[in-house]
Parts: sequence; C-alpha cells; structure tokens
Amino acid sequence: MFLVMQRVRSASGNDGINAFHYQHGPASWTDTAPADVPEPNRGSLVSQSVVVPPPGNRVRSYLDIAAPDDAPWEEIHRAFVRFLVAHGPAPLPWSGIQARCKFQVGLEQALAPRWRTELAALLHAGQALVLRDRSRPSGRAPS
Amino acid sequence: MTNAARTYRELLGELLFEREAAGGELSEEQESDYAERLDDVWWQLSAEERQAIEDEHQETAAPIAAPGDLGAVDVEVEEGSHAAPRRWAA
Repeated sequence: MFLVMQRVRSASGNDGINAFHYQHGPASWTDTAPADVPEPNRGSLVSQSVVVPPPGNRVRSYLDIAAPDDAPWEEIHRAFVRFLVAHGPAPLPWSGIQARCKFQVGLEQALAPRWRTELAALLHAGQALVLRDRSRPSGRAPS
Repeated sequence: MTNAARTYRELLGELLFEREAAGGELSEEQESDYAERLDDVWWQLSAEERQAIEDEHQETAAPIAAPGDLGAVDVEVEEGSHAAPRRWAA
C-alpha cells in the first residue's frame, strides 16, 4: 500500500488536502518494505479523496506512507509517531523507515511553525481514506 | 545518550504529536498517563540531561527549517494508474 496525502492550493486560493490510496495486491510484503517501494513501484491507485481538483495546484505539504496493504491503521500510526520522534526538529524534508513502514514528509516554510498540526491533518486524511475503503462490503478498495 | 534520556525524548515527542492528532487535547486519563510516565523517567535523568532536554524543548517551539516553496504541483491520476499524483519542477 502506498498513501499520498498532500495539501494543495489552487491558483484561485482554494486550499485543501487530497489523498490517494495505492495498493500492491498479491505482491504486498509482510516484513520490511522492498527497496523498489514506493519508487518506482507505487502500486495501483484504488481510490482517492479530492478536495481541490488537480491538476496544476501548488503542493504545500505532503505525507507519503508505504505499508503492507493490510497493515492495521494503529500500526501505521504508531510507526509514524516513532518516525516523527526520530526526525523531530531536523530540517525538512524527512524520509525514513520505521518497522514495516516507509515515510516521506515535506512542508513549505509557511506551514513549518505548526508542523505537528499539519502532519496530524495529513495523517487523518489518509486514515479516513483507508478506513473508508476497508469498510466497503468487499473489504477492499474499489478497483 | 542514556536510555532514560532517550525514553524521555521519545515520550515527550509522542505526547506532543498525539495531542495534535487528537485535535489539540488528549483525555484527562491520557494526559495523566503521559505525565506519570514522564515524571518517572525525569527523576532518572542527570541534571545535565534535564537541562539539555529543557533547552531542546525551547528549540522545538521555534519553526523548523523548510523550503519556501516545495517546487511541486499536483497531477490528475485515474484509478488503476501507477502514476504519482504530483510532479516536481525540473
């Protein structure tokens, strides 16, 4: 699974977080993420939550998460907190591996003073999308 | 860094983020659980470690270094696609 959450701003000033959910299917891993995930192997996009329609909006912040397709959200949340603790106040962008997850984080300077708030908002957007997909009758995102 | 100092930093970082993830405020029970755990470790720290942590805490209140503009724009992607939803300026 590869999740991309990004805050974008349109030319007309609309601002919001769009989220994208990719899955790796049968090729999903159970231990450490393979070296080719998420680049170049992002998986296949199964759903998205769009607040500000692309294309061409400026990306103001992003949180990318690679994790096994069926990783419990609590595991991802815990790994992300550990990732943040490890990177703390270091200059952005951040990237790293924590347990079975890989994370990449970037924020523009205007959002940096409230980085925890921004990252919490991005994480929530990803959680909402994944839990929505998992709550569908098939238990998987629509294809 | 001693184990106690590492544990204290991890707990504090966890608390600060979990507060934000919960919308700015944890329940009284969660706050007091963190306070108790932090307090336990605090008394295992040396005076120098306590001072270093207090200094760091002041620093984390300041903005972290980040670029003025990420230099990326979003891209339209369709379900089933393997393409990324953003691209970087050349």
